[in-house]
Amino acid sequence: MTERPACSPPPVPEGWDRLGEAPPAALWAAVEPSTATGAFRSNLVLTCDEVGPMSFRDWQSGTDELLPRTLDDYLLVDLERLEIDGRPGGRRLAHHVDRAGRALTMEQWFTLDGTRGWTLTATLHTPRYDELADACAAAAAAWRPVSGVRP
Amino acid sequence: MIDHDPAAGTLRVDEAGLADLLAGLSDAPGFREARPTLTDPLVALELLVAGPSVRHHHRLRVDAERAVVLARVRGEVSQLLVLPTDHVAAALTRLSRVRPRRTSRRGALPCDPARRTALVGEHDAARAAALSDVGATVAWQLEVRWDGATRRLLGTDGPSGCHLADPEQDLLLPTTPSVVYRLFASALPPAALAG
Repeated sequence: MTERPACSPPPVPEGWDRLGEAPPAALWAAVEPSTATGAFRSNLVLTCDEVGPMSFRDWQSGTDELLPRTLDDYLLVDLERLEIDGRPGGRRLAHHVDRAGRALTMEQWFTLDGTRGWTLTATLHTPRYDELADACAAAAAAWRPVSGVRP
Repeated sequence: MIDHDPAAGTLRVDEAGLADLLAGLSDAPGFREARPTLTDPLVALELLVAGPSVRHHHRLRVDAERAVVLARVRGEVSQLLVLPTDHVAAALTRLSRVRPRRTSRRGALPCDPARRTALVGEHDAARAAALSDVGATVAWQLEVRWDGATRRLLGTDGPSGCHLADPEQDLLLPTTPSVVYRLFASALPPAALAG
């Protein structure tokens, strides 16, 4: 079994809960409180992939090929380079559909540290994207996956 | 024309075929659930998407249960799609062709009312000239109507990047596909669908 790397998670958005146990393959996760209506719970999930000798470009090209094959109705909306924790990184915005047929918006921030690829993924029910986008972006802006030093 | 392809699961209609379906003179698989949304929508969206030589008018009709999309494919022929209401943002993104692009970013561009009209207008030469003037290959205009209210957005995309019109300043302001998507995600007024 591969040892899980130590991680520096982002701040938990106000009113959300940090999960005591992250989902499989994740290092950390925060979710919105559950509601009586069973509405989709927006979430932030931190993952770390061992990418070996791949360059940042190759890692993300592979991700761009993988996502349409693994997420239903995948539609890439935006993809940009930006600096994360003082390193080259990027942000991706996409639509996909879950098993219940709900339209979800996925926003990812990612950077590479040696052979470790760090990705923070926000998944939101699309009608609430406008309401929640800024809180997720703020968490991503404060995320320091490599240095661990919060701004 | 009413063309139902069971293998592909598609229903394509021209305006006469749509009128027959709405009047109950014809029927087609999948249309029964779309009819009340088309005849009595809570929100109506008109999306014009225009390139230098092509201009499509897509229509979306939405109620609390579903969104019905009449996506123009050629001439007067539209493909009818019935989607969950929460899929409207993705439908608008696909139809308006908003996507990541490599661009040589430019700043704000002048865009007076005549240019705004020409960008999505019916006149091919004027439209092509207006698109060229702002370095765009596509322009789109979204009009959302509900309960007596109307909201309009106009955007362009192409080698000069993504822009949104600011009618008060007569400018096209640089923006990103993310901002456009966020506007599409909030295009449906929640109050109009509550109920």
